[in-house]
Amino acid sequence: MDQGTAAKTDQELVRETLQDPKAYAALVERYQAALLRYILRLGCPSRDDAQDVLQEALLKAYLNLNDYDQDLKFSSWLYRIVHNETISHFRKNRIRPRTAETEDQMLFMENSASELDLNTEADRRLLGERLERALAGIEGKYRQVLILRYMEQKSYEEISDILRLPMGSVATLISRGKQSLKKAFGQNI
Amino acid sequence: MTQPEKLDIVGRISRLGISPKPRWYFLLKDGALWSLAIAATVLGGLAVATSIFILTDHDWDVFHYLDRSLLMHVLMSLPYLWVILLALLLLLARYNFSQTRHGYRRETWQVILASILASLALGLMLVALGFDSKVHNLLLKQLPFYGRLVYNKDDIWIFPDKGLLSGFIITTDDGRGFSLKDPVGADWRIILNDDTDLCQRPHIWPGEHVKLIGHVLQPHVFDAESVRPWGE
Repeated sequence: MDQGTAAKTDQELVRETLQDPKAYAALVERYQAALLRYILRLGCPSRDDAQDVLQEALLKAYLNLNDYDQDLKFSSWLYRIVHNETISHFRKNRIRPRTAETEDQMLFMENSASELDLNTEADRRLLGERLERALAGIEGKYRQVLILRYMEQKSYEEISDILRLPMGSVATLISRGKQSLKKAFGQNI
Repeated sequence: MTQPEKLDIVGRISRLGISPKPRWYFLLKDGALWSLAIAATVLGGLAVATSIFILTDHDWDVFHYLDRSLLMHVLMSLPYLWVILLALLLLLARYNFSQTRHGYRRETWQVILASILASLALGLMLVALGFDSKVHNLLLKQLPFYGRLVYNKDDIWIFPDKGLLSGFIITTDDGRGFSLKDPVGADWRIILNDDTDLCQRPHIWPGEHVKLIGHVLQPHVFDAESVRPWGE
């Protein structure tokens, strides 16, 4: 991406894309790595599958570009489409989401340690394995919102826009998700 | 994590020859969702109005003639159909609203409360304009099954053996009585005496729709203790 394009805001690139589809390449390049990572974190079993899901999601985003609401962050809008496409892909193909990779487990632990009261002094490998099992054991709706919060590091407002839920519901899901995770983890609150 | 392969989205867009859906498509979609949410709320207003009519049009003081307790009379008279319909309409309004552009940001309880208040306000307005009885009576006429699903005042004023009778006055008889045709088309001779309560009306007229409390003297002869206008 050239410096001129890199300096442009998402909204500017969206406006340019609506005039000339070639401008979409800049938006794709800006977000594709993060979105692919997100699809894999949601549990897509293979990188090839994740690439396919990402491609379909980005096409869908292009088709619906006139629906983009300038009140939203463009990244939240894009994450919403990718999220829905991924979950839809899991349902259509009856895929059971695979568990998080080691580096994502570490990221999750670092971001959530104080809130989940994790003992990060303990053997990190063992902790990672326990986290992997715990995440796999909780309901999908809690897992998704915890991934958005502690791996993607999204704010409550961003999660609200991505999942199209009121902020109160997001807070409740995160709270219940943490409780479920703690229970699955075998930790005391 | 290694970088993903460069996705040739633009190339694929070009090969497929696709372009973004037009803005009016989304405006139309949002408009349709808003319309459905509003329609659900308006129908909710009708449900409220009709429920109020059914409850206020009721004769709550005659339950003992029907050998019922007050509780049983209340339970049998509640407008369940309209209450269930109102509940479904509220859920529909909530769903449609949540699908609009920013509707999802509102908590469920806020949307439902707003819908309830809007339906209540509209319902009260319809009652004030007299549409409550019009809707109920229109449905009674046009939908034969409607009368079986809601409380119908006609259903309690057809028990002459229990002291409750109703019908249209055919002819009057100088204050001594009148003839009446009941809801099933049977003719009655109604006897009035000095103690008969005419609800502070000096006269009764042919063509009036009335409800009577009293007792049967002979087949098709009814001694009236009170004669009330149907609408009171």
